Amino acid sequence: MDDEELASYVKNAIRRYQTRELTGSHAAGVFGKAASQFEKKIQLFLRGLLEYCGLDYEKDVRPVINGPKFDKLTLGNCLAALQQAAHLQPGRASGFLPRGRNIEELCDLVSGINKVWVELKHGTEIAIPRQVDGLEAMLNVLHLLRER
Amino acid sequence: MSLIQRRVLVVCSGNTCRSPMAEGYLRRMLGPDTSIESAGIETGEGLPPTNEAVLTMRELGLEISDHRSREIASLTLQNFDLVIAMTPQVGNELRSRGVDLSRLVVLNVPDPYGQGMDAYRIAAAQIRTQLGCIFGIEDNSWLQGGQTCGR
Repeated sequence: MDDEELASYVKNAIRRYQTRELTGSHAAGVFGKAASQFEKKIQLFLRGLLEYCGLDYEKDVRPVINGPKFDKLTLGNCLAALQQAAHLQPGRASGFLPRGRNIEELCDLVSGINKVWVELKHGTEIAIPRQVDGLEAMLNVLHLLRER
Repeated sequence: MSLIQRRVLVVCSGNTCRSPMAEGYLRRMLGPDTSIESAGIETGEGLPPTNEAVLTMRELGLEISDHRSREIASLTLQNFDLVIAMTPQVGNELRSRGVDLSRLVVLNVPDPYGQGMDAYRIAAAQIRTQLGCIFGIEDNSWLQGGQTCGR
């Protein structure tokens, strides 16, 4: 899915949750599908951010977050890498985002999504309101990234 | 029904509860000569079964914790000799994707997700009974509890 398709999928999923078209394990599956695609988008964003900040993942970030190779980064790893970039280059990192937005705001949104995603990946059932919150946060992040 | 060397696919909505449970049952029922797979209509790839599904099947002596979800879009449905839908809605979706009636069996197992362990146990019993009826295996005494075929 490209950015537009993912945003459209997430927006439509929220509508389907609200109309109870999506319930139970189907709803969780849809969240999982959206989250796995979202993870790839954040990984791409991180690559651009690190380049913009003049940071090298292997040298400046990976040792600190104890992360895997870049192409194996999970959403949680990406979050840790974003936070490390913000720590090393705070002004520059926020400068990669649209005017008036900052990296901490992005990290807060991603953190909320990641909590739900991690639970799902560990076989935990997720209540519908938490899934909807996660999807709404995803949509916010996708809008934020699209504004760039 | 002889299924030697055949490929069977079990499909539910998210491929994290009912179809992995059914896949576990079928592996035990049909043995290694039949290829058993499962998938979901709409789901993320690589999700594990819910903890409740794993625990329920473990109570029955079956291990499904290694299962990881797949979406039917990633499969060639024509490659399967038999496709088992866990609900009529899933059956309709499979028919719309070209699975003809001669290869399709439709069960009726409600989604236990979010309903607690008892709902999973009931779903497991329904799956066992309905699969037993389909494959003519009525002696399920190696499993606990459950219903009879009613044939």
